[in-house]
Amino acid sequence: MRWRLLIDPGDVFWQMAVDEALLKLRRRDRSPSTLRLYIISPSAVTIGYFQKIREAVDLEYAEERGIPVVRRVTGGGSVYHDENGEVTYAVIAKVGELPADVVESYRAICSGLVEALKELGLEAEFVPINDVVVGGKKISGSAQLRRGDAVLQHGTLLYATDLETLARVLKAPKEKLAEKGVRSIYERVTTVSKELGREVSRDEVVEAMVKGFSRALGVELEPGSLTEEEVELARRLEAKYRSREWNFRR
Amino acid sequence: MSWGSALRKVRGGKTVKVEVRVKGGVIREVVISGDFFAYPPEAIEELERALVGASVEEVASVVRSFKGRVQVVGASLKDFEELLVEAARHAEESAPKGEGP
Repeated sequence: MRWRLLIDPGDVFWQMAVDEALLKLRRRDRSPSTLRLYIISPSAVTIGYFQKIREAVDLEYAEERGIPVVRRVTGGGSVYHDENGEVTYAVIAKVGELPADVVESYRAICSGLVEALKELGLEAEFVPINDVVVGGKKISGSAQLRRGDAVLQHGTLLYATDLETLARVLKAPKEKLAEKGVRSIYERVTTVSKELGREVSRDEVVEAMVKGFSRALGVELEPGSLTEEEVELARRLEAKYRSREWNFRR
Repeated sequence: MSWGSALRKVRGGKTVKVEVRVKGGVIREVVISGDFFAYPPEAIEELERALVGASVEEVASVVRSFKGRVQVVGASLKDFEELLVEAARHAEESAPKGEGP
C-alpha cells in the first residue's frame, strides 16, 4: 500500500489547521492516507481539546518568551514543540487501515515511533494509552481523533528538546506528579540526544521516522505535496486556531 | 450560589477535573476538563449542556444516558459521575447559609 509523505515547515496555527483539513478531506475521500512529519516554528505549545488553558500552561511565561499557545482538536495533554528539538508527526488514514480498538490503534501508530527509535539505536516501548518511553522516561506522546471513518493521530518525538523550557511553560497537575512519585522533569521526560549521549540532528530523526512508520504500518511512503483543496481548507481553519474564542474556550 | 470542584487522576489513565456551579440544589454551570480523550469529543460538551438544569440527584441518570453515545478513553463516565456528585457536594457545602433556591 502507498501513502503520501509530507514533510513541511510552518507555524503552529498552520500545522494544526493542515492536520484538521487532512482529516476532514480524508473522510470525504478527497485526501489520500498520509504521514506528515513537521517542525513547528517558532516553538509553540499545544494543549488538549479538554484542557483548561490557564491550568495547562504558564501563559505569562509563554508570552514573555514569545511562545504561541494553541488548543488542538485532539484530546490529551499539553505539549511543548521545540523548533530545535522536536519533530511532530501526523497520521491521517481510514479507520479500516488500523485496528478498530482505540488503544490498539494508538499502539499500531506508535509502533512507527518505536521502530524509528530502534533505527536510532534506542529500545523504546509503547505504554498505553498514548506514550512511548525509553528507560521508563517519556520521549513521545500522541493524540487521536476520529471523524466518521477517518482518523487523525498526531504526536511528538523529542530529540533535543530544551527540557528546562518545557518544565517552565507546561504546568503539570500535582496529582499526576504525586502518583508517579517523582518530582523532576528530568526523571520523567527524556530526549533521543540525552539517551544516546550525543547530539542527534533533525535530519537523522526525520529519516528514522520515515523508515520506522513505513515498516510499522507496512506502507510505502511516497513524497508528495498538499493539494489546492487541502491548502484552501487549511487556510480557512487557520483562523480558528488563531482565535481567542477557540484557544480560551476552557 | 457557589462553585465546587473535584479532581481525580484516574489509575493508569488521565486527569479529570469537574467544576460545577449549584444554586438551590440545581446545577447551573458545568466544566469538565482534563487530558482524557472522548470519541466524539463534542459529546462531552453535550453532556455539560445536558447537566445544566438538573438537580444534584439527577446527575447520575443524566451521565448514564450518555452510555453508548460516547467512548471516553483514559477515564470513564463513572469517573465523571462520581466527580460531578463530589463537586456538587463541595458547592453546596460552601454555599452561604440561608441562601434559598
